[in-house]
Amino acid sequence: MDGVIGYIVSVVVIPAALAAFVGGLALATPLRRRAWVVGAGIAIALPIAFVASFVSELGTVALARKFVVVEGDDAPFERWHWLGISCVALIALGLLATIVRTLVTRDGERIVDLVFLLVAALAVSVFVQFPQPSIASQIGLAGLVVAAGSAVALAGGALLWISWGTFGILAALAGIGGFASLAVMAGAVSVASLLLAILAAIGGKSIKDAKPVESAGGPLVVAATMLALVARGGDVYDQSKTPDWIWWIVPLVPGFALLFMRQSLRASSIAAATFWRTLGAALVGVAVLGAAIAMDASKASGSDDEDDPYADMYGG
Amino acid sequence: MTTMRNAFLLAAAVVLPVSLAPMFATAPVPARQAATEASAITFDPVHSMAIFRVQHLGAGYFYGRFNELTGTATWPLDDSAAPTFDVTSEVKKVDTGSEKLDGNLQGPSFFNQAEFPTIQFKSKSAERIGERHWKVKGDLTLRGVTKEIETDCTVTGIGKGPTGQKVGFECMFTIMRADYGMKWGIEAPKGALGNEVRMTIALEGDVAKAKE
Repeated sequence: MDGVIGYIVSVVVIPAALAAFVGGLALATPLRRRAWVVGAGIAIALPIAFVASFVSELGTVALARKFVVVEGDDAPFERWHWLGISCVALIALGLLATIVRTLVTRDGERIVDLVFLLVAALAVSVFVQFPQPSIASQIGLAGLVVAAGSAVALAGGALLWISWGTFGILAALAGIGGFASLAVMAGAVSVASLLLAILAAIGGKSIKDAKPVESAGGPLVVAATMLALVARGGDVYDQSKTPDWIWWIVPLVPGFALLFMRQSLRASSIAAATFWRTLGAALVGVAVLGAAIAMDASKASGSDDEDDPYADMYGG
Repeated sequence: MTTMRNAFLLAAAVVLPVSLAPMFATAPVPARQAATEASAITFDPVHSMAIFRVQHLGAGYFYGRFNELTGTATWPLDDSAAPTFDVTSEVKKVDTGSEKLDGNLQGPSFFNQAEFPTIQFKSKSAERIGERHWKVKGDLTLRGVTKEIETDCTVTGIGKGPTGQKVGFECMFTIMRADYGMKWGIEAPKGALGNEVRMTIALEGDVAKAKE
């Protein structure tokens, strides 16, 4: 049991704490008064959680062996390790998107978001190739990044709370699918999002002139790309009965903040607005996860007599 | 009359041995050739499997199997030379008795079926240990990593089935799974699953019929 606790601490708690520390500097210190710092902090923190968990689980060699020959390492590059490499790249891309956003007018910010989202979608569709890639699968991946971007944009100030739940659902699905490593990595991002959401709430209350959390710029590009990548990676390697459509819909869960958008826009406080948006996404998220669990359980229980490998054991 | 009978007997005495000679001379040869030439053996997937054993949580030994191994072997049925093996297992044929666990083993944390769908052993050399008992060296390719291993192989029997002659083998070896990049559960989570995996490969194959 100690081994399991130690494992969870090393691959979930410490990476999440590291991400929370980095993000917390932007969210819960006087730096919170600068909007771009808030955005940069979140854009850096989310992928840091994933990368730290990835490295803790597999070592830095898993990130390096795609590009350099590591002495004493004869293991081949595994395609799902693109997830770790992508998150390293997203740290830079998210930071850049946040900085570029400060250089344009208010009207130009949306265009910057769109351009960076398209750059991320194009990059992952070119480089991130999971097993049995095809033109359709790569276009689908790019499309999912853009669709997730549209969904994440609706999360508004509830981005971190919704990120907590959405990455939590992906972690659960990966666990159901027998992909323990991805489960803990998505779990680390989920826990990091929760810690960041708490720090953001504390910072927002305690720091005068604190800038709000926004689903825009770096955080939008990073969160959308990570959601799409983790979902597709989880789906490709899924060994459970979870249908593909479940994996495809999860990155879109943040968009269901729209369900209570009217209440959110009429809310008298930021906390209330955040609550309503989170509630919409949470309801759909729980329903999706519940459906996945139910389908997996029902199909598993009904498969006992199907394709019995022992049926012809004594033949031949 | 007597002269004719003597001539016939003489002729018979000369001709018969000459005509029968090839029969006696060549009769043992095909048998000898069949014994010394290696027979081609094609494994019967239904009766060929691999059983693995790994320690769970530092406590009990957990057993699982890979069903339906395929491949070929060569071996002279009189054991006058070493067997050769080319055996393939599909990762999706893993069978632990738990569908959930099978899925976990096929996932990227273990065998990574999506990227490395097969496990293969190809023998390279062998050394006799005893009668029908060989130490066979060869390359094991698992998760894209190829390493030389040494297996202890026994010919378990030669039998006859409805489809012809059958030969059985049993080979055993031990590997450290971390050598093949399968590290989950060794250090993280520490001690969840052992590093050492003992393999028992049970093979049964059909001997190819000699060409007439």
